[in-house]
Amino acid sequence: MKHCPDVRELSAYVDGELSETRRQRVEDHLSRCFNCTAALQEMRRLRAIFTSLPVRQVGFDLAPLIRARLSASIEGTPVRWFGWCIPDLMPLSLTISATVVAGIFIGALLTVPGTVTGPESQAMAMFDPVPPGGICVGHASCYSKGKL
Amino acid sequence: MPACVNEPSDTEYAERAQKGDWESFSVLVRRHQDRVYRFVLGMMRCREDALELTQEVFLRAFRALPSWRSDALFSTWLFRIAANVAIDNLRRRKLATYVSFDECEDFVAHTPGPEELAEAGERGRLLESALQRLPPEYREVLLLREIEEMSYSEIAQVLRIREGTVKSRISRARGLLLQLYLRQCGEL
Repeated sequence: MKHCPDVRELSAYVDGELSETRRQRVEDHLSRCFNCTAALQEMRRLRAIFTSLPVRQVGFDLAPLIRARLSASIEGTPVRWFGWCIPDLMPLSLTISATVVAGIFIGALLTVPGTVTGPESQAMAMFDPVPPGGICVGHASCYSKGKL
Repeated sequence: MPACVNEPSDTEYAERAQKGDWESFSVLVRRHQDRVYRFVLGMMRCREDALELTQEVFLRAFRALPSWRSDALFSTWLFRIAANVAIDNLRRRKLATYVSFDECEDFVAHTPGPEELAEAGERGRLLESALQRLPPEYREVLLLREIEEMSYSEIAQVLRIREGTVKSRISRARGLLLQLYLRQCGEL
């Protein structure tokens, strides 16, 4: 090998991932090339530092924790009706829209046409014959004309 | 932790776990938790994140067990999940503050100097710091190669990329890591 090998070739050489023929070719070149030998040494130096890194360990058994999390996630699974899960069927935006429409519809049912609305009735409350907290709904229903 | 001679293999335990045997899955957790933890810790920044994500890896593995096939090594399959979990998490948190690809240059030879007298602990710390600045795609191949000592073929299976890609990615990752490391050491 007259020219320097590709850096990928040197890297694979360090990792022992070259075929016998290519390995031999790289070794022949290394015996003659200072730059490639220096590059190889740097790669090996890096590897040596990796090897010297402390071996990190969890330090305790993770299995019980994982089991607890699995149990919790099973308990937290949404209720299914007749085998169908409502959140699965409806996306969130659709669920919110349906809830708002249902709320408006139910509200409209509760509102009787012609009844006095809140702010207006409060304004007229000062003319009400029944004081606040009174049990009578009006003159006519509380007292008969004869008794007055 | 390698399996003892008389102990059932990962495949046997995984097959039992597929049938709902929790104890078999617990054995697999105990066997692989440190390896997965080391890999995830290398990808993330702190121990708490790594512990949390290690659990996440096993949770996903348990849920995905029905899709595991015995023709694939359980450890390879597990590391695929670990790599996905780590990369997903880094993307989500946008912690991937690494050197841009533009800065990646081919490996430049460097003559070793007398600075090699530095203590191993300090060198390791500097290396880990430099490792954190690598793009996650580079970090994961280096960790799988240098820490887990996987072959190019295994790494290709874990990451679902071609062996040629593994080869070039490892080479570029080494070059970049070396530059960052030497810069931190003040040797560049």
